[in-house]
Amino acid sequence: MSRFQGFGAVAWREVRTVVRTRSYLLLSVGLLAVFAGTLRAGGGIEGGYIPTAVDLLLPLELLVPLVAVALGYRAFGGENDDRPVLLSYPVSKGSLVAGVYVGRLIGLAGIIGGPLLAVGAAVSRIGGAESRVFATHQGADSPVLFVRFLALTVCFGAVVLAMAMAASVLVRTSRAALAAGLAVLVVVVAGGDLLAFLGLTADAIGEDVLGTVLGASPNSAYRGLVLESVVGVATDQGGAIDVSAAVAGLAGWLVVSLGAVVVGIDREPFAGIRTGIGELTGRVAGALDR
Amino acid sequence: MSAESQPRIETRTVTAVSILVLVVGLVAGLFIVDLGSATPEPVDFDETVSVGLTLEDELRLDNSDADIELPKVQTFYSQYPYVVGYYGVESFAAEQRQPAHEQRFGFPNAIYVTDYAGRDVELTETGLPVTGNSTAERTATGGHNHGGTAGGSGNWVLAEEAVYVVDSEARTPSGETVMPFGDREAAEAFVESYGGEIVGWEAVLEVPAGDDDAEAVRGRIADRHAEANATVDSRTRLRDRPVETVVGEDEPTVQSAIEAAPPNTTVLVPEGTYREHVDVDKPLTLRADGDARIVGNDNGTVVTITANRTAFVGLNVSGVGGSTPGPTVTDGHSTGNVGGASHDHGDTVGDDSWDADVEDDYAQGDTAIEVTNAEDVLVDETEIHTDAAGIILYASPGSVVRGTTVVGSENYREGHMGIVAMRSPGVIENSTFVGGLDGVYTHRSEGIAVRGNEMIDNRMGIHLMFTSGALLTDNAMSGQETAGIYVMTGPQRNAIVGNEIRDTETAISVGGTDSYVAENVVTENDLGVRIEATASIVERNVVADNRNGIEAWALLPTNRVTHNDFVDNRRHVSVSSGRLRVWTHDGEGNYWEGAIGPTDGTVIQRPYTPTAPVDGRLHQVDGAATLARAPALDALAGFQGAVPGMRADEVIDVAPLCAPVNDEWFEATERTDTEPICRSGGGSAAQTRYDD
Amino acid sequence: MTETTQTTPILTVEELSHSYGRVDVLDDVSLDVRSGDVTAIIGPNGAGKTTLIRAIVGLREPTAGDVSYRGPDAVRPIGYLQQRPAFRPGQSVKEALTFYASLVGETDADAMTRLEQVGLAAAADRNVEDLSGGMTRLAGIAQATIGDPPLVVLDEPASGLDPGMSVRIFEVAEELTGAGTAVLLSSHNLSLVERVADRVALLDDGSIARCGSPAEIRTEAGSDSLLKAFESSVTGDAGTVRVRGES
Repeated sequence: MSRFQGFGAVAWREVRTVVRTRSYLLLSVGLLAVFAGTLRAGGGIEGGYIPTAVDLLLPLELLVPLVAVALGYRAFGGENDDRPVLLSYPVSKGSLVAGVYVGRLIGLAGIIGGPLLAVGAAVSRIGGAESRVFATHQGADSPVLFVRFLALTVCFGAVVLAMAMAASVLVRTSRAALAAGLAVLVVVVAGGDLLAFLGLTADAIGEDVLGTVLGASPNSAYRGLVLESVVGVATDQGGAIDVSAAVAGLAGWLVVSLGAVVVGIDREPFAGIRTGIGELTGRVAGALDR
Repeated sequence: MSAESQPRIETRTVTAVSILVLVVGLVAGLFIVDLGSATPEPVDFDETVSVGLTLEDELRLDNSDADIELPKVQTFYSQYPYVVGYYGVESFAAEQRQPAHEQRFGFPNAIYVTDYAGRDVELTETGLPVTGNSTAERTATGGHNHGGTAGGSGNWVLAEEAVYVVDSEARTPSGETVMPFGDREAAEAFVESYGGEIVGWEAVLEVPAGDDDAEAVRGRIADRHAEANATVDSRTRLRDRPVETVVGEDEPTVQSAIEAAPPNTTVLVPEGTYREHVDVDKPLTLRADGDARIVGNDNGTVVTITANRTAFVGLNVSGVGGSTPGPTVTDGHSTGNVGGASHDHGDTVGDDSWDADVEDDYAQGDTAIEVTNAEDVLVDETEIHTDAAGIILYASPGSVVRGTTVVGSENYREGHMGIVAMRSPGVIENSTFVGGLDGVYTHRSEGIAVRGNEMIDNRMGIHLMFTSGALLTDNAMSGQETAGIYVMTGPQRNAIVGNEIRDTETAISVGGTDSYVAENVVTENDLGVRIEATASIVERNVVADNRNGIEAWALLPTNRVTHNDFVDNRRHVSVSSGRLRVWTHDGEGNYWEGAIGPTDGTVIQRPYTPTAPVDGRLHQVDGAATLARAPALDALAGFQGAVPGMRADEVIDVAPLCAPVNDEWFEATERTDTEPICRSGGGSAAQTRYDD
Repeated sequence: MTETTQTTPILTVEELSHSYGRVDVLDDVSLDVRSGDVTAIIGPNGAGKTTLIRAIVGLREPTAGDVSYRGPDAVRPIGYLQQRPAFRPGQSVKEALTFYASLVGETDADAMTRLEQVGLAAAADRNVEDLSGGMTRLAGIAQATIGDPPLVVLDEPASGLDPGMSVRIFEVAEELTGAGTAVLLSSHNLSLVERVADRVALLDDGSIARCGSPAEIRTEAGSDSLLKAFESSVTGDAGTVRVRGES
């Protein structure tokens, strides 16, 4: 048996699940609406690809984790949970996890990428300056930069998706999974940045290493990479972030999370811890419900 | 059944994995690809957004027969979608040294300079470069070659690949200039004929600019006031010439007294009405003793002065003929589009016939006082009633008009200017202009000072054409149908300071470059200030109660607009075209009624975008403040200035002031609707000011 | 059927123990499962049935002891139906089955054959959410047989079903043994177990109280029905519910 046995089938099933779940489609439509609103307020779309990316950076920093958590927190829970059955098939844990992850990632790329591509198409139609009197040129602006932006955004989503899946594997009930997903959301959206901020103000993080430390916070890494490799092309000013640290940070979160999923997927080894975390998150969820 | 289908699984899995690898590879490729490799091709200079030369210079060069070709630069910036053209390599060098330059435009993707190599370049007597045989490409286009502005795309070389001759005899109308050459031999040949030395691009970027930069304008104001004071002192001494002739005692009429009087003496005109036309052709002082009136026969000009150092003091003039230049003038210029084809005669050698039309038009018609080819004339304490022009100064530099009142036609379309100053730089001060076309109309009167006048119900208060270096200060205007102050035709170094303008269509419309608009109070106008000028400073003005506060017209975002107070305008700012402007300098912006956010006692730490739908309504619409504080909008505002050169049609102030700058005005007008929001203490300037 | 009971077991459970923390759920359980047999695990709630089944399927690593599969090599040695079958919503029964079939290299035609086997061919195009509880179980059994596993393990296949449907489920289980497949199931429906099972393991308080054919157990317990044998074999107060691991 190949090590990748079943990977394709599992991935394809996840893609179909995402496609068939109407709320995910709504999520995509919602994103498009948010993008449209943001760009209307920011006006970036007339400026070109880079200003558009700048305008969308902030909403994406909030919404990509949201989409990723929405896709990830139930990947192994609730109605989707046929792990015991799947494990009776010749499907390795690795390919099961990889299949579910890649399938959901394709879904995430579609949900986020679709509206972004629509925005990109809009920019190509109405973006940039036109003049009958004066010669115009693109400057540093380029559709490639927007595709870069899109790729970085999907990568960011990929990392948070893995984190959300890890959280969902470590807890048992779907209510607890929701709470764990929300916890991931909070940590990703604000936690890392706040820690970096606190670290900086308390002098725990030296000024010379801030660019490196920021790489450990997924959304800082994402923001830094966008500023560096998309916006920075037009401003010629680097130093938004230590690129290798940011890439390493994102890759680290991805690998650790997927590893946690692989290890946690057949519940035995972490039963004790998991039960503990499960109870805790369950209580939190219960408290939230009240 | 499983055994035979085994390979199928493999294929599918392999496909999936290969797709995965492909996607990863493509994404990685996205980040490896070098975007900066394509260098844009140079464009026709006419298609650039150009700076560094006045329209006057351009027209003059355009109409000269010689094939003058000034050194030019065209720059493709990373953030700015228009190609920016500079007259003179040194003007680019100066511009790129400006602190906000890179922030506004990004970095240059490509810079081209004029290539004089192989083009038989020579210098005219005044040092202007003339190219010999046009290149094949230019000849092939076949059209008439406008030497000054044309530049076929064949004559460009990348700036970094060129060599430069500095300190040679070469000049532009603005001063010394750097000559670029595509190859060193050509440069050496040029040095042999015209001197100078050869340097590289890096060294050229350090060459000081021939022009003063905008900031120096600020420092010049006092000097120019002092110069104007000296001129006025000198002219007012003409009043004290000894009285040798008294009208009515020595001679029966004013004219016969003038003829009888010896030069450099005073002709005294006692109280009374003198129905005659007067012609002063020798340096005399005509001074009224009591209420003396010269009344014409409602036909033609009443007083004509053709002698230097003539003084006309205290006499009232009326009975002027009704002949005016007519509707071509009254309507033709209010659009501000001077310099078009109608003024471009094109083939007159070296002369200034391009403005002949304007001179014909505007110097025509009847006037109360006409001063022609007479230097250093004084018109003082004169009251003029006219349905045509009040005073026409023609080629009479050094003239001073002060304490004079011109009451013109109630309907401006039937009237003419209060004062026409044509090629007559001097001083016009403390005078009053009511009705008529323009209170003061200047034409090629470089360095004219117009101060402390009052202008009421004219077409325009002050109208500058082809006039650089003017000093327009402390005038009070109201009720102008077109504009309070209108600076046309792209001049340089004009200063508009301390004027109070209200109830006009447009209070101030300033074009050109290197100009200074400061400490003006513009209120209750349709539009407060229209900024067409570039590389200029607009500061410390009060812009209040207008429909539109400031309109940004200039295509190039090179102005410094800070420390202005925007209060109670329906819209603080509107933008007609161009890219984002950042109206903040050195960490301080403007005071905007309605701007909100946390403050450090001097500035508000939230960017204010007066052109944005929510920010622009903050001072007017209840609830806008709540909406503006929405985290989404708040955070969005923080990113706005990231790539300003790529933003269309916006103005942003990243450090709005928390208290007004001109507190005297706020105190004098007892504005209570403007609450300073500098709450946090620390004894900052703004805070202390308001605690007083 | 009785002949096959003498063959070597397809699966042996030896001295299996399992504990969650300090609570022992399974204590020294040994059990053989033979091809062609229906082996039933019965016992009160909380006796450790599901834990045992999960250990057998390989979802639980036992604390001690061994579970060894001794059957022929197969793509899928053990087919499994979990207590509450879950199918990915939004797909048809056929699609759901085809997915599982593809994991062992079977085609959608093979998937249809499985559905015919359990009598669900007519519902093949129905959405999985629209199936009744019984039909979901049947589809689950079809799923458990995908890949022709020599051992099919069904965790409480008839719980919560009406009597007719329960009978149908047990019939299907019995039919599977016809082809030599071993079936291991857990159930509370003692009359059906009595009717269908070849061997019964009575699990009480984590260990096997009795094991053998229904007749042997009746005899051992001296009862005339399996239900009575069950009641007499189970320790403790029948009126209280013991909680022990998963029910």
